[in-house]
Amino acid sequence: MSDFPRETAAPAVSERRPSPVRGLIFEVREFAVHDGPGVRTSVFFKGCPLRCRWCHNPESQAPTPELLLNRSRCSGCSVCEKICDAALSPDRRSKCVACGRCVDRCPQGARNLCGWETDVPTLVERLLRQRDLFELSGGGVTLTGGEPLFQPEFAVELARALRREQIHVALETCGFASSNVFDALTAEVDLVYFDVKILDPARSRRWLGVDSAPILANLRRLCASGRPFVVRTPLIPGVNDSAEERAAVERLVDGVPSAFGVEFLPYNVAAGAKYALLDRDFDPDLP
Amino acid sequence: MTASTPASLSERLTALRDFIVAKKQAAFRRDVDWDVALPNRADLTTARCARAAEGLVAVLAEESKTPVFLPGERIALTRTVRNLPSRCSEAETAELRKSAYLHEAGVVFNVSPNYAATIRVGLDARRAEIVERLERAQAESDAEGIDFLTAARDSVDAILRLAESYRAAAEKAGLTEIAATLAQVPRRGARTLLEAFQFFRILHYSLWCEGAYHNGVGRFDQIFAPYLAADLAAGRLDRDGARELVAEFFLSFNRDSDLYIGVQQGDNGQSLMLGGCDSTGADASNLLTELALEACGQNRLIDPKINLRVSSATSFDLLKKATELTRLGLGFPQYANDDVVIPGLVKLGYDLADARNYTVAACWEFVIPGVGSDVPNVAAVSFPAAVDAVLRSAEATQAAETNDFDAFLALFRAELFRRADEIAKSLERFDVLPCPLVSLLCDGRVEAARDAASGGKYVNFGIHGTGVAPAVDSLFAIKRLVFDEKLVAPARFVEILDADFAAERFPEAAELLARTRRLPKMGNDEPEPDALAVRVLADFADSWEGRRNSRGGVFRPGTGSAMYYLWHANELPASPDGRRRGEPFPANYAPSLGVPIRGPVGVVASFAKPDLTRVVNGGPLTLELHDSVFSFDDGLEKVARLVQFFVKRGGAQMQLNAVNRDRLLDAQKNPEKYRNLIVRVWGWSGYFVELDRPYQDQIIRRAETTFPT
Repeated sequence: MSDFPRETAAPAVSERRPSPVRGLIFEVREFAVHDGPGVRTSVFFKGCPLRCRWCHNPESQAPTPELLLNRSRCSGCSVCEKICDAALSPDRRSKCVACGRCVDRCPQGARNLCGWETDVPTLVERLLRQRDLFELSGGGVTLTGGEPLFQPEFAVELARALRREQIHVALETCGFASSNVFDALTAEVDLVYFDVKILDPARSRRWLGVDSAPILANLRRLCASGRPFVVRTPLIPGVNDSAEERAAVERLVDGVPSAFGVEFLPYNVAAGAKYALLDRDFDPDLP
Repeated sequence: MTASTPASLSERLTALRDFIVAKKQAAFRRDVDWDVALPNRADLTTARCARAAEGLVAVLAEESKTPVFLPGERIALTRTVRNLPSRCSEAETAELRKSAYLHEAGVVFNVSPNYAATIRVGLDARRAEIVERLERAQAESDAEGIDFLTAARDSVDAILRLAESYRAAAEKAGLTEIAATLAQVPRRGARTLLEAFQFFRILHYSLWCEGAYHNGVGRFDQIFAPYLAADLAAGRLDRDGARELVAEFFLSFNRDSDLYIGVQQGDNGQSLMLGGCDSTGADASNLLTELALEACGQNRLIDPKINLRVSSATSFDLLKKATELTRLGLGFPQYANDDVVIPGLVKLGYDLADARNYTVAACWEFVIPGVGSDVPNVAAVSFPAAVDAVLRSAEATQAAETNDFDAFLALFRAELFRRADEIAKSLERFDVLPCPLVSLLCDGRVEAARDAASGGKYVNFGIHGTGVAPAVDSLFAIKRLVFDEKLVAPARFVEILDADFAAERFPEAAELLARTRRLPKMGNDEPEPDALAVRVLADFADSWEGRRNSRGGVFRPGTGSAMYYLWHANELPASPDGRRRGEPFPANYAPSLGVPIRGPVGVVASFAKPDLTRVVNGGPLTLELHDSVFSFDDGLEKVARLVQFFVKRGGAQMQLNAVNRDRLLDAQKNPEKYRNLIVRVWGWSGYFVELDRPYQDQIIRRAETTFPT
């Protein structure tokens, strides 16, 4: 997510049919070249059950819209303060209800609303505009986030609608969900990127904020399902980057025919860059 | 396709490249006092061609005195005279410009000569042709013909004398291969690839000495394919040897290029074309196409600048090979889409066979080698200025009062027509000084006994169109904020723009600026702004259609900006799209700087929607990719797919750049660390640290919007 001003709402496209399921997304990113085969568009779901200490997308965590404020762009013109007391206050996070009224008033483009509600037909229409590129490149759409499993009904319906249109769908997930939800969504996609960060339950709670047991249980279900998948492990210095830990991750999928390997991803050195937009501190507390 | 690209150049060429990059050849240069060397100039009114030839003859005579050989080179000829004589005195120039419009330096330039025909037969044969025609001209007392043909003959003789002095010097220095090459060319036709390259080098170098500039290279892989084929058949070269020779040939373009300065260093027009089709429409890409891409990747220098013709028939392997150069950050290849360009040129009146033979002139202007005497950059229309003018008119206020945006668009269309009238009128007394050597390399000029300055098969004028996206974004902002929402009236909007959105003077300015900046912009595949883009470019095409220029040609509107993206932006205050005063336009055909863009796919989709066959003068869609796109193995393939998508959607010309903003910022601070950092400017690649600050700053602003984000 760049800090350029972006539209706060999805483009006005008339709905083709009413849909009861709505979802909260915070970005539709084209040409997502690292998110699966071919040229892809990634849909970022807002809301995540994990709280990885090193998370570099903090705006993806809360399952509600949030106001991002780029204070370095702020010229102090105070237009926003005339609209809302919370606009620039130091504790704006507790007061801001993300109504977005200040966003369209800021001449510096320092304010962005992160997260907008949409429905499946609207989103699918947008994504299908690039169908020819997906076809010629063997690409498609990747559901990522945040965590798509955190909005299971919307994710399932979106994946179904896309695959009905013969669009290849990949899912990038942390794997933390009930087994029913996990099975329901993975059954609707062509390829899964499954994040495995920490195996040990206690250390998982310390670093991710959740137990690793449901994650690993879902990984076992994925292995048994025969659905193609790739394991992804972001290497966090001093946390999970030892040779033993890597080997342990590799052993999880050793001999699984539908596993297309383990990708170890280097730690993102710019990880903390977006915390300031939320007036949050970045404190990964790495060893 | 065999992928046998070696990682680096041979030891010999590495040393030669290092020598050239360190500009050691500059030590051989000297200045000449031309006032002393050329005391009595030919008369400019009665002997224009003689005036041109005497300059060339004098320069080559000077050069003949000091042959220079760079260590290890096989293709000789290096400029030693730093300064060239000017064609006219200042008084003469002033006199000329009083009675006529002289474009830029006022000489024939920006064309793509037909080198191939002369390389094939040799200068002796060309000289005989000139002499034979000269006798006829003399018999007919055709003074103009005599002037031109005499000048052409004298130019040929000067080149032959220069080549002979190099041959003799090479022989004396024990450089037997160079001496042997020069014993054959340029006097006789080339037989081998080495001879053909040496011949080209002599011609191209001599064009510069004549005062012609922005001399395009043309269709490299078509010009030289027969010689490579002969060498391969005879066993004189294998694939690797051929690539090494191509790499050396390309190095030769970097020897003197610092003396060939356009608007900026690097803007020297040494562009070549690869790929495309033959006169029957069949794919003409060949082994040389591949070798050129590979050699260019080995050299990693700004010259020659590579263009690649692509179409729906282009192999994916070739696109991947081309994308390798993008990955290296060279700012090329620049792609041209045959599926759009050829039909576009035919619509302008080019014969189909000629259209199929198109190349680019200096940057991206489409011309036909040998027969195009077009002036493809004669003037430019600023779309944002047209929007600005309309917004200021009383009729705009009326349209707003009756809530009739169509009426506003009609005013915009009329404004484009008015500007076209004005430009066409200013070009009615067009004049250009001859270049007999360029003309010798243009088809049919000897037979016509006339310089290319007096005409040719195609004598069209190209008109740039600056700031398509800012104009479209501005029109959309006016529609939304002035017409739909009535947030501001036209006259008030103009006052706010003139005050650069000053909030202290206009209470609503801050909101207006915030609102306009957040509206949908051209480049996101959004129906509303894109529909306006379709309309703007159709109006632009209409405004020039059917007009004839003073030379009997037509006008060719295009989507290029050249350097006008800075000049035209500086002529305007803030604009309705939220661009503040002093901020530049995007270069050529690209989204406005700093606007929210989702990615390159939407950019291609939006910019391919207008009917680009009608605005085919040239002007690439320009996209900056973050260099991290190539950090995964298949990044290359995905970028190549983007090129296919561009072709499929009907784009005309595209420029992909791999950039890294952090590196550019660091280069501004520490230029000494970045001597070799290459960037794309507006249709040519240059060294970032050699550019003037405003050009550097615009590139950094462009790099703020790279993909993936």
